[in-house]
Amino acid sequence: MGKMVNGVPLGKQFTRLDDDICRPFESFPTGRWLVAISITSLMALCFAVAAGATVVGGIGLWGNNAPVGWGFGIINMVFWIGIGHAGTLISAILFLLRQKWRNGIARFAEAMTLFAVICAIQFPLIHTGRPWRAAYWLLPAPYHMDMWVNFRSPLLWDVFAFSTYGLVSALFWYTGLLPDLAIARERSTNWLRKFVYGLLSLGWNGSNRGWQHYEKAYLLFAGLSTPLVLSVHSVVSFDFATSVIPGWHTTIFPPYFVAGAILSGFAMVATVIIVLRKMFHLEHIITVDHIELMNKVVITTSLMVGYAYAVELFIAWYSGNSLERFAFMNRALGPYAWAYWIMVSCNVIFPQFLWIKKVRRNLITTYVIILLVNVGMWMERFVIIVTSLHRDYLPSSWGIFRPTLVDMGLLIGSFGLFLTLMLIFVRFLPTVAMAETKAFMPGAQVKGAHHE
Amino acid sequence: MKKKKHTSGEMKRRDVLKSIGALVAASYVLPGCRRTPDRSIVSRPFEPEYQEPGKALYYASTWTEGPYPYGVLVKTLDGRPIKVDGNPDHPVNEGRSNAAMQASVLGLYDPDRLKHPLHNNVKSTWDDVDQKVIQSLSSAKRATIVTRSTLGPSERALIKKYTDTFRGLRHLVYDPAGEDTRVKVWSDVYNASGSCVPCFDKASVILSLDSDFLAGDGVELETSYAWSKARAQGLQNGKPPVFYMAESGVSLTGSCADERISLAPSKMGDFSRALLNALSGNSSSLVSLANTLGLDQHWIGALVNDLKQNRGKSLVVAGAHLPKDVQATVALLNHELQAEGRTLLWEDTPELLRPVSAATFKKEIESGLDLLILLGVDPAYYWPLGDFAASVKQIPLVVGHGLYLNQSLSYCNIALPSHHYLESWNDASPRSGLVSICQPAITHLYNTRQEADSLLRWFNGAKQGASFIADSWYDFVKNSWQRGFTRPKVMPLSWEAFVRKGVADTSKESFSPVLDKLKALKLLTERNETSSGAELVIHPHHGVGDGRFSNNAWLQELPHPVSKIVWDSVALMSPTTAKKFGLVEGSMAKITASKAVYYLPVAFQEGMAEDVITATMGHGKSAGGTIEKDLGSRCVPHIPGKGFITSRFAVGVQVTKTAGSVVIARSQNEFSAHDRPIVLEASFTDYARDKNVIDAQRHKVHGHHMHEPTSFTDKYKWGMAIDLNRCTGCGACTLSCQVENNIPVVGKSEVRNGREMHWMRLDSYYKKSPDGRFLVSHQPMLCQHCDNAPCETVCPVAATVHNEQGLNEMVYNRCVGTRYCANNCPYKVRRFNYFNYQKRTVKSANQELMFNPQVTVRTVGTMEKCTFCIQRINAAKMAANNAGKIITDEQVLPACAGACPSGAIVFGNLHDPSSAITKLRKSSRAFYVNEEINTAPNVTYLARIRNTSSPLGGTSHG
Repeated sequence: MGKMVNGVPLGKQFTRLDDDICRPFESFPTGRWLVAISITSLMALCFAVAAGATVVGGIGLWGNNAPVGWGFGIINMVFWIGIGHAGTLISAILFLLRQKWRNGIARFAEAMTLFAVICAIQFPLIHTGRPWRAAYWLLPAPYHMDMWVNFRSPLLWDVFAFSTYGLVSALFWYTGLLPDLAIARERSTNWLRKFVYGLLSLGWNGSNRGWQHYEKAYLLFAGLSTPLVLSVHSVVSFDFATSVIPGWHTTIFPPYFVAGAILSGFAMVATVIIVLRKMFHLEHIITVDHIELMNKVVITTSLMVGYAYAVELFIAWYSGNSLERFAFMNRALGPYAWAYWIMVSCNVIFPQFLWIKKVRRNLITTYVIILLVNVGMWMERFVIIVTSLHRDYLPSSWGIFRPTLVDMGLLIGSFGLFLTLMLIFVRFLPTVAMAETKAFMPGAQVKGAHHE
Repeated sequence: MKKKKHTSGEMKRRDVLKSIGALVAASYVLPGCRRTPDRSIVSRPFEPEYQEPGKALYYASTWTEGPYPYGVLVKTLDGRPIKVDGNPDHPVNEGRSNAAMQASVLGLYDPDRLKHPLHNNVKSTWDDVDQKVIQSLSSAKRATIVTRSTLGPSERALIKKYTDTFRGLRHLVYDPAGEDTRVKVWSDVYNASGSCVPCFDKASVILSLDSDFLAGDGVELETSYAWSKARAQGLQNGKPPVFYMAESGVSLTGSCADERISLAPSKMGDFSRALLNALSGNSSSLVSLANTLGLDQHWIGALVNDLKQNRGKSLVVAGAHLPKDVQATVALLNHELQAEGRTLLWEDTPELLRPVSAATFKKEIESGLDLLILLGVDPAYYWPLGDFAASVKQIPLVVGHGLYLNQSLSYCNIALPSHHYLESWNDASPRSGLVSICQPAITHLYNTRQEADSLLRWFNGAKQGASFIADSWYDFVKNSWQRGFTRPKVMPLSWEAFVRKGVADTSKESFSPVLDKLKALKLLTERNETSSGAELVIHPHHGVGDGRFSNNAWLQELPHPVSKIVWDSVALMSPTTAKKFGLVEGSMAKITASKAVYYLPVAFQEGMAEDVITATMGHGKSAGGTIEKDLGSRCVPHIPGKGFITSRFAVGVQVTKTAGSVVIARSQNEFSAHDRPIVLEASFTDYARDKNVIDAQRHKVHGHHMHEPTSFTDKYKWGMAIDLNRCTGCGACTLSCQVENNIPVVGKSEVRNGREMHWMRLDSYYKKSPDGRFLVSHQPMLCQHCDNAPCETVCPVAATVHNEQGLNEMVYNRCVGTRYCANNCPYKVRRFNYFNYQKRTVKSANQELMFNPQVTVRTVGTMEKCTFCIQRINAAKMAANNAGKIITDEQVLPACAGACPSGAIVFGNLHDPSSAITKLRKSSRAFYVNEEINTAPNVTYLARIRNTSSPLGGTSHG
């Protein structure tokens, strides 16, 4: 694509940028988009059917059983909440670190966070035996029997972590959208669009004061979100770490989960963005350089995750605890060894190919590797949850977990829900932060003292 | 604003509407509330004596359904029987119960029961069918009444009246499952009618040859307690009995043996004869036999030695399915060991009913009968000789009486519904001098009638000049008591006192018949053919017996004590034997024994003798209730003859693989304890040398904790101790808990999915000892009510909490079903309602009557688990508080402890220094499961001490 300045391609006019980014939602849906959304909404329908069946029929429709009380429900929950982390990392931490290249992908990533959180919060509810009660008893609401929630339970911490995360992510994303919504409003020719975008842009007028407040608010949200990148998945990991089950009861879990979340999140951002940039001809805005930079994050977090796997094994041996040793031997060699080795190879071994520059700048090889990482990260949660539970303390209770059709429906359906939301997003909202990107385009900033 | 004042009598629009509404509501509601009888009634100012709402009434009765009529105490609440336990006054079972007895209450409310008389499969009335039967009975030249072998004295008296009155009427007993070669041989060699009663509490050395005497082979409730009592006392006085077992499969009894070897049933004869020789001084044949069979020399040496040194204190028993020569040898062995009169007592049994063989039966029914009456039997199911329907088709009138429209009843012209035993009057006298009464605890639920009642009515209708006997069956039973032909010789009680107590027992004269050695030796020479091929032994099923309880879902779902298989009949064999026949677990095997062919799924059982297959009867019925119909595969006893040495034991069996395979449903799939300190054990020698041998194996919690341990200051702290030295693993506790706590059944596929609901389960672990013996350890596992319960901290809605008396409480209403508690339970005792199991199983309003109203019926999506029967604790607490006293031992008994036939479960107050539980917790054998994770359980296990000289190979201390 040629020369880059601050991660933005050189030679693009500001208006052309607006045109390019606004085209998808200003023109009639393309055939490709219609085909895509019909497939994904069919998948999302799977989710609705499977979830409805679960609520009506009971968790028995899933593969869960006596030793394996949690299955696909919690796996999917941890998987999706992990996905969200890349978005927050890109929009908050990279913003604070002044990583300007993030502008091209920040909006995508933030939207992805939001949609991933939406997918994730489906599961804690439908995985309970009685969601109609869980929906309000899990909240610390005053209740006529003076009965409070149990603040010692990590599941309750999840309630707070998820709701905080969802709320902050949504506000952060919406704040960032304001100037772009105003652009959309200004460009609108149709009264309805003008009205809707006008309403959503909250009367943004581009004034100096407006910009000043906006920058402050954005910075504040970035500051608020930053700890969340670390805390949310740490709290999720407490669901396991605070239990007494060998394989769960591990102090390494919080950092291990955060690294894994970022790995899976970046993989998912790349998975979606590579398709979308092609679909909406945004190759000049989201460039191969972006992909390469993301690949570098992938390889870093992959190494962190690999380190965690190794340390887990080492500590299991070093602790001298026979149950702990058994749990890890069972992971690597037991009936679910296939899952463990898929996890290790997809998360640690295959990403190592990204050390090669050609591989990480090639979209096809990148795509293969990040798809594998997605699989590997889902498998990681499967390994942690299922293999730890299926053989715990008393061998008399050992069992095997086999997913059912409803389980598969929920898994596929959650992807459907995610992708449908993503497709709706790209049809109706600017997918790249136009205002921010412009700020880093050549000629946007006045440089040095002398004028030409 | 001033309010408009109401004036009286002024009817406003609102008032008019209100009154209309109230009138409409009243016209609907009031008649619904009161269903006034059509005659004038008088209410009484006080509660009737026997009706205090919510207060249980107990009725003594007799469980006449089972193979042995144990005394029961039926708990009725608001007029409906909800629990059956043993009658403490009954001298045989002394308050103890077994799984089938516990489950019998389900049979009462079974919606599958035949509910009205059928004539040619059309609903009919009792008057119509009575008329037809009486007509046939009066005119029949040849008639036959077929019954089971277990009949009460009154029933026998009535049938005797029939055979005396009606010429050409015969009484046959067809009970292929109840055939017992032992009884035949005993009466032959002792020249007396009766049976030998082994006294396990008096024997120091016991040898069992394939006799599952702790479960199903004999009077197991009497033997279980005697056996466990002897073990407990032996441990106290330092001289525990030693129990040797040589068996073909791995039975519950075998798993409880101190010294167990596996031995094919065809070798039992040679082995017992060689043993007899060895005891009389010639051990050469035993040595050579041991060499050829590769028997454990150590085992044989110890056995011979122990038997020789304990003459008069030894006992040998053999399984009922073993051939005559083995039974005769065992009689001679007991004679040689001077067991008679010491460890082996003789019981006069009032006139034994000898079952006839299928061949005789077939000849009978094909001999031009005019009338065939089947009473509570299902010969069609057992029929080994072709088509039963074709055989009975020639008979003009076939009348069948039964609980279900079973295979035989479906071929009958007249099919009649029977009362359940909880709706019946009856008596039983399994031993001379002992009579027990069966009284109804509820009036009959359906349009049914007791079999004996029908017989009586038909008799009265077609008397043919015979003397009048009684108007009703109740009168008949009462008369037979009052006239004295059922009552004990010394009359101890009035009729009313008898019915209240349920049993009358008089001391009986001890009578020792003399062994006819010549006869025994003659039988001993009746050797059986030995042929190549596998051997097949057919046992009654551990739950459904010979099939009589096969429509009982509770018993179907009761796991086998050793293999943990549920809901099925399987061909059990050792993995090596299966491999030899090219079979794997779950493959369908065609088993050909003589003319009998069985198709059974294969299941592996380690520790079995090679080339031996054990199977169970009671499954594979083509008709009957919705549960039993087409469930499992049929395997029934055959006619002794070629191949079949006895009806339940065949040699020269061919096994081939056939098409199809099934997934065997087991409640436990992993049988190795993986060297974890879950079940601690020691040999008696080690324990006698060092009482701390168990304590040393414990993984106690060391070091400091972040938190102060919770202090419990209430006057009660509940705890349980389970003595694994006494536990036999029978599963009566599982069933009792299921009945008491309204625990649903989940079905075969849900057990396969690992979703069984039993709050009290029996875990079994297999182990190979260092010298190659196969060892089984049982461990009842229930909620441990941990003081540091991992489940409690993780529940987000606080649905499971600890109370001040140490109970881990489950609040069903609050539970939202996150299942985190179950995940975090190191004992995996929490059960989740994955589906609405109760709704799935309860199909009729009648079934709802069965529920214990003191325990919540749980719905879908909730977690449940053992509560230590909190409803019983609270009831006892209320009673104690009202009396201003404190609960002492035995005043509160959880359902499991109440049922346990071996007295292994002790429950009580840990804060009472004098309670049994407090003492047991300090026992040197006490240990806790998973104690290293500091859960601080309130359930103590007492280690099993095996009286064996072979090494056990304890768990490693890591």
